[in-house]
Amino acid sequence: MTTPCPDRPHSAEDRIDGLLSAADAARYDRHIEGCAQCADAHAASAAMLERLYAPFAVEPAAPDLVARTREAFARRPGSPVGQILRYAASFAAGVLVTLALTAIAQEETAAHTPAESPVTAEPVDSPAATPSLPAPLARIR
Amino acid sequence: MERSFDDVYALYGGEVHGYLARLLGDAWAADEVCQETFVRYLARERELIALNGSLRPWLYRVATNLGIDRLRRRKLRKRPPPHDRRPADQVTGDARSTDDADMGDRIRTEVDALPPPLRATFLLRAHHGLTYADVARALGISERAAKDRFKRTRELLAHRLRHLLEERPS
Repeated sequence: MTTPCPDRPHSAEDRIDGLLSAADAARYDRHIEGCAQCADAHAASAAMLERLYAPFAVEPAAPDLVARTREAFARRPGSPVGQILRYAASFAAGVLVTLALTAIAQEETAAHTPAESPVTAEPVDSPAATPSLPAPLARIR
Repeated sequence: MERSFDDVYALYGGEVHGYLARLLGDAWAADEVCQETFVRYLARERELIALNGSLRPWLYRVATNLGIDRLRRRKLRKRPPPHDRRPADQVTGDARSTDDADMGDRIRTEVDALPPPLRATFLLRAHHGLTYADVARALGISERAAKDRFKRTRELLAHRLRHLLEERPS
């Protein structure tokens, strides 16, 4: 790389990178115009920085990233779509709980109600309950 | 005229993703962070539309914060690239020489080795062309600090890569 002369007021890199004040940049530019040695050094620095600042290749975004972003936004708490979905989910959960509680209550009611026997029980000591015995046995008894 | 989300994404999505891919060194992590960046944009879309010219640094600021946070948590998951993924902005495609590719790889390695705040500063200014004022906004620091940080980073990289950068004819 070309060695700059000792009179150069600032570094070429700082001038190229826009790190100098307007006044310093103007002073630097005036010097470069009149100094071939520093002009060469400036050109070398510019080429070096161009290589350093060349963006290296990167992989592109996933093709469906916009769609994924919209979906993620819709699922996000506070988003209108998300709120609607949450309300719908809450409503559905409420309906399910109500149905479940109703079913349990009905089962309990059914369990506590005495079952009706298809045959009416009759008193044990009623005549109809005792089979009629033959006359001799009836006397012994 | 109001811009739709599609317009904003078409305008800034590619460059924000490219920045994140360079910052994180991982396109899949960049997908996730880029997605979150634009989800945050959508959440504040109405007020951000009014920002107009300041939207770009706002997006870079959110992307930088999320990206650096991601790097600090060290939760980058390396996944094998699918076949359909190729470098998007590979310089001049087939015309890119092996020397250029080697130099690009070396520079990338050195940039990846930088601490995240320096890496973000360098990428925002050198690769993505933000002004120092916008770099400062994106990083939440003063413009003076952004300039100092960029200069320090450039000197560090130039020192580490001096043989590579100087030995080539300009």
